[in-house]
Amino acid sequence: MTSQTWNRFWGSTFVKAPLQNGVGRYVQQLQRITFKFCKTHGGSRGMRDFIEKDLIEFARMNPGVVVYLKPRRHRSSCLKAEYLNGGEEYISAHKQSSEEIKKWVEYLRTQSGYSVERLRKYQHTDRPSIQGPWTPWMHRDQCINIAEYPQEELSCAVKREKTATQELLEKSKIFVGVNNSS
Amino acid sequence: MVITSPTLFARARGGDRYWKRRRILALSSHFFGRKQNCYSIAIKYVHRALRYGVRARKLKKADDRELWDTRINAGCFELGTKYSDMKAVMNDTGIALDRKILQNMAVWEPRSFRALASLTKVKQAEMGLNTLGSPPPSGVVTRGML
Repeated sequence: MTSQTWNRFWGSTFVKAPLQNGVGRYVQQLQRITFKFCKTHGGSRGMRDFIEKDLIEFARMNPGVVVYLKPRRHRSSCLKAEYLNGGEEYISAHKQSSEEIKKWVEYLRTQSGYSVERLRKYQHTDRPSIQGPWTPWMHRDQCINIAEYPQEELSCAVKREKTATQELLEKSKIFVGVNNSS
Repeated sequence: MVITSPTLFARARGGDRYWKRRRILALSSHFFGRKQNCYSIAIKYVHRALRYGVRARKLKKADDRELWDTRINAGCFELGTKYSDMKAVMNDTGIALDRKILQNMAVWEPRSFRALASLTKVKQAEMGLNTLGSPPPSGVVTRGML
């Protein structure tokens, strides 16, 4: 599978959380969950078992989530989750056991509302720089801000190597130093 | 008496031409023209695209490294040192920052990078890089020019 195929069919996104959820407080993003099942068909057996055994505890543990039950004849069982940012997740629970459905419910409980896409990078930051990003004047002397132009010193060429005069002066100092010591 | 064995020996091979072609055409969905829909044309370009993908995964690492080296070199040169000196000093002092972090610092954390450059400039004098401050080793004639 090439990345272009992935992007064509399933898209890609950067890491994000709705309203920086978790940076400060964490708010559960699941708004409502709908359990659709048939009262008689065999494919909804796991769903019916889940509703009998585990649903009450789920509702008690998550008071902020609205739980809907939709018994519909001749329909396969499914879970539909809706989130605070408007995102939705649909999972078919046809012929699944109650343990599997419990795991899917737990999965839906912990999702944010964003669709499941390939992450381009695993980190995101709104503030990549603490010291401030580099500018061409960052490492320069601040005096150029208040200098009055034209100015001899600032207009001359940047000297990167020692000139011959400087080297001779240094050598004479060493010579003088040697002479003084001897 | 009904003979069933010979009929059981008959094999029904293949029969999945459609799905084999679907696998290839899924990979060519973003191509231009007949290359995306016609199998016998698409297969050539899909194979080329896959070869490019394999090759590019290796090249990306080398390209990134080259870019990072360029950035760190530029940062060092602006601050009056060299990247090679910085590498030697960091090795000596035990600062284990890699290229990715160094170029990130040079762009987003320039003052920290400047601190590293200052350390380089001071430490290289101690280590004797770029100078022959100590007496030259025997057998080397400098005539005071080095």
